[in-house]
Amino acid sequence: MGKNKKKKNAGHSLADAVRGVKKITQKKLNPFEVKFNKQKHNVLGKKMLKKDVGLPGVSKSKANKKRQETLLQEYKKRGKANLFVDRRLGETDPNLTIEDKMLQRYAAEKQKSHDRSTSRYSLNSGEELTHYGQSLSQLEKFEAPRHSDSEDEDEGRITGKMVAEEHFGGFLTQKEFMDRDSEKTWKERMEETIAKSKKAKYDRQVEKDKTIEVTDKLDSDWQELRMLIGGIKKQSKEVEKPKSDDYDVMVRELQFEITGKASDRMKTEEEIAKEEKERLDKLEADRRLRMKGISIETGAVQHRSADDLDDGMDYEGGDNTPGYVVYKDGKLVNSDDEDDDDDAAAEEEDDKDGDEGESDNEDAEAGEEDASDGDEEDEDSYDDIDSDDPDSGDDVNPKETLAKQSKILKPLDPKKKQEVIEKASKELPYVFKAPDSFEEFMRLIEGATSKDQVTIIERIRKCHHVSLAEGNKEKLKTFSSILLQYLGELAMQPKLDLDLIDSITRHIYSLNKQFPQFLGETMSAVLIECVEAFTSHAERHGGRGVFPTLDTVFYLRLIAVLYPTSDFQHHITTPAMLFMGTILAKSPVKNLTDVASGLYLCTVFLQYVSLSKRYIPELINFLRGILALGVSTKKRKADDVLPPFRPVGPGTDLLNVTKDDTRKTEVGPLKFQTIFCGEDMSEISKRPEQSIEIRLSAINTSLHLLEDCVEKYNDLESFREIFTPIYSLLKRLPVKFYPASMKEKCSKLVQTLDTRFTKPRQYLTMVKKKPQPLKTFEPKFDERFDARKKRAGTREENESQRLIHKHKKELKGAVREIRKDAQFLSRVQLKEKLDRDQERNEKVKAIHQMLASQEGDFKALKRKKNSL
Amino acid sequence: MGKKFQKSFSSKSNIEAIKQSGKEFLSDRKHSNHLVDILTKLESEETDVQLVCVRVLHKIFNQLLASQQMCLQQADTDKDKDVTSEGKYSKWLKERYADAIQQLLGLISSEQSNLQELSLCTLMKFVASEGQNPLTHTQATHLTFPVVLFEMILGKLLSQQQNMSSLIGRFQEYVEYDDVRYFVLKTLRKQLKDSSIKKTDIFLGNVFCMLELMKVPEVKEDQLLDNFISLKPGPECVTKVTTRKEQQKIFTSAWLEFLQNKLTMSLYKKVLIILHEKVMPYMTTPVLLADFLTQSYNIGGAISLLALNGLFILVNKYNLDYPEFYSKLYSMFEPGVVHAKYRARFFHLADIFLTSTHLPAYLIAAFAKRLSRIALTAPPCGSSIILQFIYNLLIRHPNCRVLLHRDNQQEEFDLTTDPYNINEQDPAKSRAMDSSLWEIKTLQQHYNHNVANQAKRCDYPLAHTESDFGEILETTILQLIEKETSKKIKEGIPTNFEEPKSLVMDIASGQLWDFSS
Repeated sequence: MGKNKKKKNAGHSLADAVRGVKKITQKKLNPFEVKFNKQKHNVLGKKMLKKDVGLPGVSKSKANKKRQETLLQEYKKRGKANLFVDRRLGETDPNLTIEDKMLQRYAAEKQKSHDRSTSRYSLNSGEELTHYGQSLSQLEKFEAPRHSDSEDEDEGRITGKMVAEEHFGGFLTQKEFMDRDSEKTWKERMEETIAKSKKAKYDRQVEKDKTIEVTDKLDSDWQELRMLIGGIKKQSKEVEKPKSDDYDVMVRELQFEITGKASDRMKTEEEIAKEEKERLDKLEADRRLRMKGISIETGAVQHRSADDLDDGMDYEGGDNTPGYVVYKDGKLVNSDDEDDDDDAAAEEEDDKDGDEGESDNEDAEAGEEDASDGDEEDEDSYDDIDSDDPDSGDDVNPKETLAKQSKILKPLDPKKKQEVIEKASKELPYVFKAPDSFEEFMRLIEGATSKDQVTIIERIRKCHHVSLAEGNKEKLKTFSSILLQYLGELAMQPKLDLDLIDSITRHIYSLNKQFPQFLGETMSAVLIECVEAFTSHAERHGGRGVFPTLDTVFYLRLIAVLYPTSDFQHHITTPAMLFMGTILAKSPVKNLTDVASGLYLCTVFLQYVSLSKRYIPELINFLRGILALGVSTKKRKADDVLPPFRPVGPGTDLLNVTKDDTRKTEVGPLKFQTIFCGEDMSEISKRPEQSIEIRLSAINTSLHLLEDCVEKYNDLESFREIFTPIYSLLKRLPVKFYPASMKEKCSKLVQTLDTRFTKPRQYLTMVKKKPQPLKTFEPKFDERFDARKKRAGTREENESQRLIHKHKKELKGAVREIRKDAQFLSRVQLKEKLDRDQERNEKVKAIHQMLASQEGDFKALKRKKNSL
Repeated sequence: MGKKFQKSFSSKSNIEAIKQSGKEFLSDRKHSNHLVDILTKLESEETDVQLVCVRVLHKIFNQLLASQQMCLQQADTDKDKDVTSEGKYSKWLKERYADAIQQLLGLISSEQSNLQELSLCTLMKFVASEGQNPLTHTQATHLTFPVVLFEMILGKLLSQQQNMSSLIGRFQEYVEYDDVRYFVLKTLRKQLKDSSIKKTDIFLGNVFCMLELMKVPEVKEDQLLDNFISLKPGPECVTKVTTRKEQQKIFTSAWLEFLQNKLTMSLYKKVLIILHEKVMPYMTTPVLLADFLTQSYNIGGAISLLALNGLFILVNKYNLDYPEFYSKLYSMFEPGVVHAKYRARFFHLADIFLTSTHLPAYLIAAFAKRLSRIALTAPPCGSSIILQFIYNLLIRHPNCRVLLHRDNQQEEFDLTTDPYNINEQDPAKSRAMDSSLWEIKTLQQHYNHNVANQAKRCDYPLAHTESDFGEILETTILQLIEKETSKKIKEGIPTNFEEPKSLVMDIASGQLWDFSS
């Protein structure tokens, strides 16, 4: 194509040649040759696609021409092995004149002879010599050489000394090698060598730079000097600025001086409270969502500022804070009540500065280093606790000084020293190793009072704060599981130390904040253990369970403390609730202890659903059973109770009160300690006086729980069905023997139930489905039309679809081409055949003609003869 | 210590001696008296010695039986006078054989289980050997099974004082033989009919264990049974043993005889559990069980629950007409049913009974209502089953869908109470169709999310196909808990955001509990 253009341009003027390209494209189309595909709908503004318009005649002829050039040539050459190549110069180009041809031939001849003369051995060829790609002729400019290569090369080489020492194992200087490098390995020696030569190179470079610098300076000096010598004084171009006087400076300064600085406004009390409330509101909203079973896509764990969380938190709940750990230069120095405030203050300062470093020098100067600093994720900040009064005195506690002295001030007179040691020995140690096992922990706290135990636990946590050392995270994790175990252990003690238990609970709570994942797993493992103990007992006793011991109850309670129990589904609370349900459904009530522990479990369970108000059939069944125990056997019906309670049998009138007990006006609450760890209840039940009291308390408690249930389940559709059996039992209770308060409670409950039973209800209807809209024939408008087909599949699918389609298209095209080739060939062959036939016919005709004329001649001759 | 050692040493030497004498006895008749020694040593108190004695006796008599040395000619017994020494010897041997059998029978009721087993096996081996080589020559047409010996063994096995269930379990391998089975059944029937035998609970337990093992093999109508422990009877001889029908007959009568006795509760349950699987298929006319099953069905509780299965088979396959079957079934749906041990079986059967789509809608509605009431008091597993059950019922019976969805709210009913009356025994009169399944709506607030989610399905149109609840039938609470805890803890496990004050005292209703000590 390009050639054609040139050829055509040859005839035009130069200007035409410049514009030539345009001219070609503006070739006139014969309108009769253009063919349009008919459009079904004419869309305005739509571009005519390539497939819609074409020049069939032109393209056909083009294709035919191409075939004639290629396929036809091949066809003609079929069966021919040789090829005739025309290498004559200028013969193929018809445009060349004879002179040009001759010139070309001459040039070629010359070239040939020249090539022959310049053999590869001839040295005196006209080639240019180069050095590093530069012509030598250009190099020889005689400019001042900056440096001498030869010198450098000399220096770059390894010195003879080194060669002697290092090469060939240094046999030339054996002695020196022996004493100096006897310990060094070969590798080390080689490295040394390399380092040496590198250093030498560097030195050289430095020297060179210095030389250049000096030279430059010399040059410039010379220039100046020359100017002086020449006496030609150039006018300095720089105009010296007039020096501004003090007044101007002052004015300018005053102009730009900042009159007031914008600073972060102090938040008012209300604002802080509001923020806190907002935060709590948000958390509450999240909880509600989870209660409904809608998951929140939060992604990462929410970050809460350490300040936020524990603001106003009364951690120690009083003055039982014996001390805090204080560090100096990474070593623990002392701790005390007073420090604590300092710590808190220090930390607050830290937080303000946004300094999250591990330690602060200033703190260290003050002799204290903050043990727990703001870690990114952990919310624990014990140091904030008790920081309510910021004006804590700088006065130093005597104890602190003593401890400080014992560590810091070395020289002490022996007497004083003795004193200190004695005091110190009475004190608890300040550094505790994190226990690796429960046994180790038990050894640590052996003999310590509960107050000291709290201190120990605290100190262990302080000493192993996550920010202090690498492995502390793991240690604290182990420690948290140990604490869990210890909690269970404490629950099994004959005498409950509720204060200790509570403070351990708080520790576990804050550890849970730190390691939610780990403690979650541990907690669920503990729960599974409890469940398995229960089920294995049940299996051994024919499916009958037993009310759990106090440790299990505590764990269940702890779960409610640590985790949101209102969640629709929760990893730990859900199984815990299932477990409690199972206990209530499977454990038969045999004595007063069972009644009491069952009731406590009910209390815990109800607390679980206090927010979500979920329905617990097992709990209702249990309370129903308890009430039935209070009804005398004569009034009992068979369908009063459900398993595990039995309608008849021993112990079915466990809570029945027959004697008049109205003397006592008030019923006390059930005594937790006596139930779970006090004396044997079976003994109590023998003593009628106490037994009756406990019976009444139990009934009272269950009435109370029932009231709670009634409130909670008020909105349930089957409220009446749920509470009808209880209602009938309530009516049969021997109320006349009850004290007045209970009597009142009972009648009030009956009344409430009476009124709530008549709540009207509605038939169930399903959620209405949206009606399906009828199909319309209106055009559908696309809001964002981009005239592109949208593919539904993924990227890969679309790609493969596209490839398949392309392949199909190509295949069709290829088949079409082949078919056209075949048609072309057959056309050619037909033409050949026709040509041949025609030729033969002509020949035959000619022969016929010749013969006819011959015959005619002969006949004419004959006739002539005859006529003659 | 020394004494003990001596004892063990002596017993060891004893054992060796017994083995030796057994060998000598077999090798030469000179040592015939060894047999008497061995028999006396069988009474020893040491188990080891006894075991060895049993083994040696086993070897000796097996060989004697195989070589037919004890076999007396019919003629010999007649002529007492000129008995040959050979005859005398075999007679003597036979007497010893009888002694040995007596002693072994005694050992069956011993305390040592391995001794029991060994003696039982030995005796059964004798039975087999005797069957192969009968002591007395008889015609080929007769069966050669040693009935007398076998009855004696069975008599011991079906003891009235001792629970033989483990030993009877060992007996199973012999029951495979057709003749053994036949004679077991025959003996059982005889013993059960025998009024002189006191039918103690232990005896009945043993009988049950034995009966449980019985299985009449499946063969074609005209084919004869041919798996015999004794000599096979000739083809021309047609006895009762060889036909399947006869075996079935005797099987049936033995079972019926057994069921007439007063069974203990646990045994009763066991019988009912296996009845439909292991008994009914082998009986000639299972309808004969109808009386028994009907009685059991009327007892109530777990028993009637279990009888249900057998009864259903009778109704379904054997065309038993059982009036008011469904109203009885209806009355069986009680709140206790979800707590029962046989909950899964019950619901499985109930599902089968209510499969038919031709049951009236009022009946289905009544069942659905009653079930939903039960679900209100059921544990989570039970609730899941019941909810699925109800959904399946409603899918099967589109007429009952009014229970979940009523378009035009009819005002004529007083809806302060549920129109459905749970105390009405007749499902037709319970007015279930006028009610709605409010209980399911209530369960949407269930504390377990599985149940709640399931209950929430009632708000939307029901699925078109029933879902199989076979899986949830067997789910225990432990599995549920494990399923919950085995879920992987996600990164952000939600925790409480309020600092706890106390572990125990935090509970809102503080006035209920006094935590002070």
